[in-house]
Amino acid sequence: MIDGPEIPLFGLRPLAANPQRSATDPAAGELVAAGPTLGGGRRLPGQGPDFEAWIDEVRRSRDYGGEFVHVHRQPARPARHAAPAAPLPPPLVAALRAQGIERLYTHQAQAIDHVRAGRSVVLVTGTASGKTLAYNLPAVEALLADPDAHALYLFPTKALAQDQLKSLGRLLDAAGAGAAADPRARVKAGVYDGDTSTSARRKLRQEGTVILTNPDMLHQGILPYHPKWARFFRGLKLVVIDEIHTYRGIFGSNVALVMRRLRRIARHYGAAPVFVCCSATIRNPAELAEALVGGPVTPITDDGSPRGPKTVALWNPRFLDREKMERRSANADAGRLFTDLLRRGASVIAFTKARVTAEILYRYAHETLLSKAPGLAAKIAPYRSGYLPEERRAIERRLFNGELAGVISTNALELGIDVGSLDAALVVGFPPTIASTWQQMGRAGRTHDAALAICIAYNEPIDQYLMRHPEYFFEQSPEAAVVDPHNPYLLAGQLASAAYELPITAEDAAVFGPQSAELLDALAHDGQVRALDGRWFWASTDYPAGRINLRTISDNTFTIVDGTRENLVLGTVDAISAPELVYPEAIYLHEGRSYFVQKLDLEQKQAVCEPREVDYYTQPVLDTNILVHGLPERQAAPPSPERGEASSLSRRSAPLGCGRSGEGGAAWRTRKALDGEVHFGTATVSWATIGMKKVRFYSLDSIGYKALDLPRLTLDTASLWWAPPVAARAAVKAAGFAPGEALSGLRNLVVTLMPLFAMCDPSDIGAVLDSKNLGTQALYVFDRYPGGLGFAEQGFHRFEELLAACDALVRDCPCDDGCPSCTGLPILRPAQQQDPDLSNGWPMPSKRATRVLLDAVRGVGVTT
Amino acid sequence: MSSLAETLARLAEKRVRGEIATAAVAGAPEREAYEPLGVESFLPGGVLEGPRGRCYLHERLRSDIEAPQPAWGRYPAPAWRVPALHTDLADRVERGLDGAVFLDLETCGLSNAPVFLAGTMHWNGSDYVVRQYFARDYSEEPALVDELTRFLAGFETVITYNGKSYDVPFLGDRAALHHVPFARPARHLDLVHHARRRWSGVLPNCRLVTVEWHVRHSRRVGDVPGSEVPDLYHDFVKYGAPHRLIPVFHHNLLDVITMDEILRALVEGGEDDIEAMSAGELE
Repeated sequence: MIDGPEIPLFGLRPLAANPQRSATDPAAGELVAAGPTLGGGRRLPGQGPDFEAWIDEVRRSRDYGGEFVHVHRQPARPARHAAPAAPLPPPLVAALRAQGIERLYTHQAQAIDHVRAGRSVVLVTGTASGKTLAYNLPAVEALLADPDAHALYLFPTKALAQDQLKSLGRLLDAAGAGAAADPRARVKAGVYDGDTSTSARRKLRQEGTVILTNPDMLHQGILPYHPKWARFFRGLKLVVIDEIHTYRGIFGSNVALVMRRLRRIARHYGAAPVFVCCSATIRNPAELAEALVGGPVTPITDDGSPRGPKTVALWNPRFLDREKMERRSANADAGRLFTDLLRRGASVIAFTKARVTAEILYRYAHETLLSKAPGLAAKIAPYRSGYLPEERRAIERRLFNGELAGVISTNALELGIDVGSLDAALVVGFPPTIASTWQQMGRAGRTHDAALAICIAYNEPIDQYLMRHPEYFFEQSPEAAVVDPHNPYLLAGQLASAAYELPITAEDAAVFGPQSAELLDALAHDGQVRALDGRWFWASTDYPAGRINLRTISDNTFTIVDGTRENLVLGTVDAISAPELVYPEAIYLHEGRSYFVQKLDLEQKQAVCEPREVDYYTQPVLDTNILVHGLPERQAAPPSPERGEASSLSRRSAPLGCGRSGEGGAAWRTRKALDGEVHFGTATVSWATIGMKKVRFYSLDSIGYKALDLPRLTLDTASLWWAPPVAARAAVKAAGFAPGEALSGLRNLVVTLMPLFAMCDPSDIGAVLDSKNLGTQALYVFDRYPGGLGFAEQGFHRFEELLAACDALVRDCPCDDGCPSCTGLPILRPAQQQDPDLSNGWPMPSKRATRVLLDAVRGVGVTT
Repeated sequence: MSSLAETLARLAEKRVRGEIATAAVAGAPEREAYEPLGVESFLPGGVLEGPRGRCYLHERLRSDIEAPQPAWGRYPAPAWRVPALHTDLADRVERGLDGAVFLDLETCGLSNAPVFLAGTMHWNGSDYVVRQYFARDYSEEPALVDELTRFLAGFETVITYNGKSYDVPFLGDRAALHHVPFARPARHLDLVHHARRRWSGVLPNCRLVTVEWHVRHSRRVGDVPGSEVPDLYHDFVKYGAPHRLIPVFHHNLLDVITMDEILRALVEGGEDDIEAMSAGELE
């Protein structure tokens, strides 16, 4: 079917109309959708495409190679309604009716009840479930009831804020039609961000009742100026934080601290707002919400929104050549699926990870359609964040009204923006979180009609792993969003920002955490704050928020500039990440475009690049040392020449200025795991980029290596470590393998899988094998940021789960005895580790060796 | 290594070991006994104690500094000029400084920073009274703002130089921050606007010192530049040594006095008016 015999255009069989209307849906008699996601109007409810039949056809076609590795059928789900405990005020009831909504869904009613009762909530319901109404309704209700009530809405992007402003506007307009008083007179909403004009800013400060903004603006442009917002804060009743799962890692940790500043300032003006958070499905939405809100949050997971039947399929391109482990191009398969679905009359959206891929896919689809279905060629469009707002609006409008049938997008469209619903969504390559995958797949689906979502795997370890473990998609997500508001480096900057805003009292310091007093004393010592009368006052002409970027951990940052465009700044990166990301001759990807790094200027802290179309990626090779704090000196083995350890490997006696342990108490935390123990503590880690590899696109062949000499970075951070129990080592040896090889393989597996559990980027963590610390070889996994950010800690707490996943990955890998997708050194991401501990290292550790180790550790019968 | 860097390293280690206390945090240390040799020794005045705490008030008469002039307290305008005068200026011709007060603030920054010195000047019937409200450290700012706003509330008109853009909104922000009720003054005569109208063709700019030179034919010697004022105050709070700050008081005093001279010049007119008048440009 896909590459099968040519089907004449006029004889093209459309996807058969679904004969089964959702007759069981009591809402069937109502309008198609609750809320503005009315798609196309091209089709009446119940006449959706029959994707089941299509999948069967594909499977039966001659050219099919078994690519559908999993097909999951989500049955239609009728709407479940509920009413809030007390009815909504008449203008809102009228507004809803005008939008075709007679009753609310369960989660919307619950949200209203909780908010009215003053309880903060986190809504964990799917895409297009009416989450926006769940917060707009209580907000508008509160604002209509009290002329001095105000609301603050936070979005991770400016585009989303603009969209939500429109959404709110539509509700207000509907509420105003025919009402006695115009709600717009009471509810004055506006976006306040970097793009807002000076006069609009003034007006919003003086009169705004709903302010829509983003965390960066709140941090630098609103909170430090709070006296100008006194009127607004005095009446602050509600704070909405949308898409909270995007607040993780450094950004999320900083945002959690910014929220503490916000609450403190609200308190200063006498306000104690209720929080409404919205999250995609992750493992720990309530925990994340509480970390952001700083108080108890009630999760609302009872999604009452209706859904047509949805088929979710996982597509793994077939092997081209089993020995080489090469698969057919995922992009090519995606292109074929995309055009085929379009030709069958479905509307489709395809998500790609990079702009370059979106463009490739668009070109392929366009050419194919030109020759096979010319009428459709004009009905597809690429979509990416680089477009001007007007261009994006135009595409969204055309999608909405059916002029466009197919869109190829980068994840610019993933977040909440309203483009109506499409019949099918293709996710090309794992996005890279499961939460994002669901959000992208959520773009397909109308309220009653069948929808289709296909996730297409790249030939990369995580993609392949997930193809074999659909339970991660369809059962509990393993992904935990990690935030760490107690990282002292982040806390220091945010405390300074807070002191600038208002003098910090002992109570305030407690809210920011037990380290605050010490940090404030240190700031006082450095002349930034002064302690007077039991409070810390800002005592400098410095403006701290101005130099704190919420996305970096230090103010030691490098800028990445485009040398061909007068050093236009492409982005900034922590000094920690720079030698690994923008080393000389690196290929740097920015918004889907590739750049070649011409120069890394360490003095100027600048990486100069030029745009370059290349057919390869680069991967840095690192040399890492780790020294755990608190180990008694005698436990560490001296460097041994037989093991190839150079005695010039410096062993630092202590980090500068750091107290050593022996001050009582354990130097680290330990817990029993599997057959032994896993530990978590601080360590001084140093690494240097010693070389880079060039890796060709798609084939992933290595096409070159170059030695580099970049300065060594050293930082104190958190690390977990684990030494295989003696019995496990013995089992490996008995099976004829070197324990070092088995552990090497395990290390590579952990590097691949930890990001899945801790929702971090692979470059956020490092893993190294070392024997110097314990006198025996152990695996160390650490956060690549000073002070640690909670990733290694996550691994420490979930070590058994992590090892189980490693085991599953290595068992399921179809390779013979190790490949880059399982035990081998990873290709492309992240950096490759060259262990000083092992003289030659094992670039491709034996899979069997690793399996023996894992079996022994997990207490499974040893297999070879 | 800075104190902060050391502390960060130490804390990073402690918390991983689980040693960070969860007990309530001790507050900042209370202040030590106040240094006896403060500005009080140089600038006589008294401590004001009110509902918002304490601040310092230094008060003196202009006649302590300058020889009194017969024109003091009055702003006579030549008869031919009066009809062309702006209402705010005409008011002063008629009423002198009755119901009016000059105001100039010294702060730690252009915005989001505390005010530490507020200079005011009013006419007591026979002399100008200069008051300088002073926060001896950051904790005295609420009292300063409170006392100042209550003092200003007793006047109908406030006279400033660029106060519409700067001093009054600044004071409003600080009052909001400290929950001090502050009503904008009923009338506000901002001399900079009138100065621009009058002298922008004549002078290179309308900064206060430029206009001062034109009006008083005197230049300040060794005056502290405005940009250095915030750091001088921060240093004073850290290290004491009032000699740092005396020049700031003096600068503020001169600013306030100069405003009076500028007002007089605006009202009286001068040679530069004749041309403008004949060109029909006079306000």
